[in-house]
Amino acid sequence: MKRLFALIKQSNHVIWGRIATSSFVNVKSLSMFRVMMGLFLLIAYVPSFSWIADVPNTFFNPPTLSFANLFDQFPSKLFFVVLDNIILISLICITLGIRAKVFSIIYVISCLIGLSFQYSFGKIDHSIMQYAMIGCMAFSGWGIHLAILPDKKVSIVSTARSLSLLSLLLCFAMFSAGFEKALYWLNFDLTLNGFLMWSHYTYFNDGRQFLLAPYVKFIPPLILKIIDISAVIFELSPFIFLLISRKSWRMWLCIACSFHLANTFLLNIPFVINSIVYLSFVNYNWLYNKTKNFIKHPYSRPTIIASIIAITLWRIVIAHNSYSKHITIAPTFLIQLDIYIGILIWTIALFILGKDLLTKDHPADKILYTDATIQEKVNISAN
Amino acid sequence: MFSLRFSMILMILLIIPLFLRISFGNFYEPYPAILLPSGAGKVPVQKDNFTVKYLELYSQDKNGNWIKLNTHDLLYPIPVQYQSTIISNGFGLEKKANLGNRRIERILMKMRIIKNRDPSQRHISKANDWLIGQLNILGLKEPVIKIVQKEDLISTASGKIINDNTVYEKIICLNKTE
Repeated sequence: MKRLFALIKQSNHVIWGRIATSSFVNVKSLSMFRVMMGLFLLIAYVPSFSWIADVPNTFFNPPTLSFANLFDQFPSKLFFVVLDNIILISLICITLGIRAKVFSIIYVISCLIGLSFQYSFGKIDHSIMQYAMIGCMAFSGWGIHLAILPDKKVSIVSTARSLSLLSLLLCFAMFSAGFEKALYWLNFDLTLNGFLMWSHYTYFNDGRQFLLAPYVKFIPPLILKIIDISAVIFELSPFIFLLISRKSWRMWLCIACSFHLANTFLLNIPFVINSIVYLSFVNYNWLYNKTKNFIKHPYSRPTIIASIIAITLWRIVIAHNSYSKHITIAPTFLIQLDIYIGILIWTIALFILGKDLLTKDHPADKILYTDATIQEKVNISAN
Repeated sequence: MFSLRFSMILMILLIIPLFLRISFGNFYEPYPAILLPSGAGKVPVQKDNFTVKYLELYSQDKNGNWIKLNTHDLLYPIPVQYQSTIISNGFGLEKKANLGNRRIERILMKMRIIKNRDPSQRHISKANDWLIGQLNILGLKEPVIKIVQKEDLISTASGKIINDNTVYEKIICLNKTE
């Protein structure tokens, strides 16, 4: 029994060590990613919930196991306005690097509370990974560099833990999507098809009839079955890629971008917000160095601050004046615009990840990635 | 990196929501949870036709003619992905269906996690007023909405509707209070 327990403990160390090696990115790169992600969310995707207070309480049908279920009706307008402002201020602070760790946690908690009420119309959207990503990154040290009020320095183990946890959560999320599919789609029955079910639903119920969607019906049964099996393998395989090596993990991330791009063309489902989760594993040291040089320029800081103020004012005006405020560039009802923006974003993501995959690791970074180095830190941490 | 205890707790926290969704359905999916949509259903391949079900909304103009409504416009500012559940629940204006047929429901009702969410008269009146206001914005003054569930038979080859069938209709009079 003792030997079995020791074996399990050792396996736990080895597995986490391999995950850390595959997923590690240094803090300078994470800080650069923080700025880019913050700007992207500020421009394209600030969650906003004050519109919920304008709808009737008879629509209130919260998920049974959720925070919103503690309530008997939608909260007041004041509650949502305060929540919206907390979210906007938190996102600005994350972008500018003002106590990014604290505001990352505040941002995630506020968004999850708001989304709990947004999903009280009877349907849960599955955008959880972006919040899991920001929650994990809060402890990674991404607020140390490129920051107005930097966070305290963190150990390499803390950074490795954050990215390890995020990569494992992403693998599990994919598993949750692929497990049930595996039960029903993995067979040699060519008379029934799962991908075709998705195509019919999105084409006829959601009106997603653009690009290659009208041509799905011409795909032969054998190819449809291959698509079914490929989708299951893709969704159940990330953990294996994560354990193999850094290169294989980034290869899987490229495959994920290709998967979403194919879905955008064939099913017109962009699911763009997952792109920032995949892009969090890219090494942005090259961009960090360029940004550092840019900041040294005398006109750079006023330009940056003026840009952030302009975006903030724009967001405040939108919050008071328009519908679907959390998605300004691509409102959900403008399906076509949503699709074309999805194609653009997934193509860019695929390019960035592909470039990262083909780029050799810097020798200094390579030292950090080796099992020996991280394992040494693990042993120190465990003791 | 992480202790064995942490790993075990993490696995439990991840697996429980997935287990609840698989075992008891989407109604019991917790939020927040690390889950992505499964959508594991299937449809027949290379059949000559297939059926599609969907909901439509209608209201009346001043002459009593039924006018088809754009659900997005009617339910503004609610995003489009939530509209079908709101409509299929009849805008929440009626008493909820009886729960407690399943063991999980009885357990959750005893724990007061599943609550009685029958709408109060005040909420029904406010909802009626809101829907009437939305109809007025669309230029329709009659306080009535008809929910129609349709089932279309569609040709796989041409994509055209071969036959359309009304599964059920429900008329909601918005100025009536019980």
